[in-house]
Amino acid sequence: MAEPQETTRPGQALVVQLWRENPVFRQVLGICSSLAVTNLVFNTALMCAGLIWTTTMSSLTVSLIRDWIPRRVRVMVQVLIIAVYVIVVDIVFRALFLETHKEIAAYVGLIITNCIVLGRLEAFAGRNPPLPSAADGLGAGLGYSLILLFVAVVREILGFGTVFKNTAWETVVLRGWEPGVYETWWRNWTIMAIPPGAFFVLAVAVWAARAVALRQEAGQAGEGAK
Amino acid sequence: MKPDVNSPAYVLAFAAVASGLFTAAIMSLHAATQGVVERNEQAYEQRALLEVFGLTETAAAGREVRRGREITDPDSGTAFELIEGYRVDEAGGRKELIGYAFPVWGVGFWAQIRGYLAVDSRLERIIGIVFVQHSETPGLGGRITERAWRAKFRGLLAGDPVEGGRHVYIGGDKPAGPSSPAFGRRVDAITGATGTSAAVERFLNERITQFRRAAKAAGVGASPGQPQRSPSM
Repeated sequence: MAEPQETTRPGQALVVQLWRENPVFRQVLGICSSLAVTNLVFNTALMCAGLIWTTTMSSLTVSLIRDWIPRRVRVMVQVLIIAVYVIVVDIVFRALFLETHKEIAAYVGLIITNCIVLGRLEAFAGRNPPLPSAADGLGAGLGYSLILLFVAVVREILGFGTVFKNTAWETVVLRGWEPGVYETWWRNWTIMAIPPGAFFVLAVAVWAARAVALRQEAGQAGEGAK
Repeated sequence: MKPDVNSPAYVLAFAAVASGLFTAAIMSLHAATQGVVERNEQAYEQRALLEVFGLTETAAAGREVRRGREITDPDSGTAFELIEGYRVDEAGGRKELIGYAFPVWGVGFWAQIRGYLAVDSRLERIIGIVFVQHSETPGLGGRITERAWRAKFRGLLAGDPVEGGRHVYIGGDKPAGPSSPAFGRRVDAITGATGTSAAVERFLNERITQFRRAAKAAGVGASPGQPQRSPSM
C-alpha cells in the first residue's frame, strides 16, 4: 500500500477510498468475499449494501470513541463494533429478504472478518474525526461495491445468461442452451457460476481499473510538470 | 478530566461497558424484529408445505395442512413429524387426504440441508419435495430449490426400495428399461453440483427408509383393506 493519504476533508476521504486507494483494485483487500457471492447480481448488491453500512457505521463509531479506547485492546473493541453492525445487517436481511438471506447468510457473517473494514478502522477511523471517518468508510464500501457489482454483472450474464436472476427484475440477456427447451448458440459458462470464475473476472477488472487509474495519474503528473 | 486509558482497571471497565452496551443494542434490535422474523419464517414454512402438497394454487378454504403428529422409526430411533395434506370439498366439507409430508435433512456439500418430502397416502409415490434451508453454492447446488428441478421428483416410486435399500437416484445413467433398478426412481443431477446432488440422494434415501419404517410401525399409509393399528385421529 502507498503512504496513507491522511486527510480531514470528508469529501476527499470518500473519493480517495472510492478510486485512488480503492480497497479492491489498489489495496487488493477483501477479495475473499468477492469470490463467493458475486455470481448473482442481487445477492451481490445486498452483500455490498451490508458492507457499506458496516464500514460507514463502524468507522463512525470507532472515531467517536477513539480517545476512550485503550490502545492495548483496540482491535478487540473494533471487532466487537464491526460484529455489532454485521449482526444488525443479518437481522435486517432476515426480516426483509428472507429467501436471499438463506443463500448469503454465511457470507454476511464473514463481513466481520473482512479485512477492508478492520483495515479502515486501524488506518483511518482510529485517528481522525467522525465525519471524515464515516466518509472514508463509505468510500471504502462504495469502492468495494463498484468492483464487486462489475464482477457480478459479468459473471451472472456469462454464467446464467441473466441479470437479477431470482428476483422480480430478472432479465434474460443471453438465452442459454437447454436441450429440448431453448436451442440457441449460447451456452452458459458453469465456471462463471462457481468461485474460480471470479478469479478471472476479478483479475480482468483489477487490470482494467488499474490501467485507467495509472493513465489518469500519469496525465496528472504530466500536467503538474508543465 | 480523563482517566488513564491504559490502566488495567480502565481497560477492564471499558471492555465491560462496551460489551454491555453493544450487546444490549443488538438484543433490543433482535427483540424488536423477532415478531417479523418469526412471522416470515412461519409463512415461509407454510408456503413450503402447501407447495410440497401441490396446494399453492388452491383457495385457502379448499386446503388444509395438519401438523403436529410425530412418528418414530423403531430401528434408528429417528422421529419424524407427520404432516397431513388435505383437499377440502368446499361445498360438502369432505376432506380428501392427499398424502403425508415429513421432514428430510442431512449434510449437503457445504452444510446442513433441510426440507420436506411428500408421498401419497399409500406411501407409494413421491408427490413433492421442497428445501427450506441450505447453504449450497448460489446458482449451483443452490438450484435444489428451483421449481423445475424439484418438479422432476413428482411421481417417482417411493414404495419398497430396490437393491441397496435405494429409493431415489439422482444422476447416473438413464435407466435402459423397466427392468433397470433406477426405472421410475431417477431424476437428473444438477450440472456443476455433483457434490450436492450426491449428498441429497444419500440423505433422501436414508430418510425415506427411516420414514417408511416409522410409518409402518405407526400404521400410517396402510392400504384400506388392512386394519389400522394407530388410534383413530
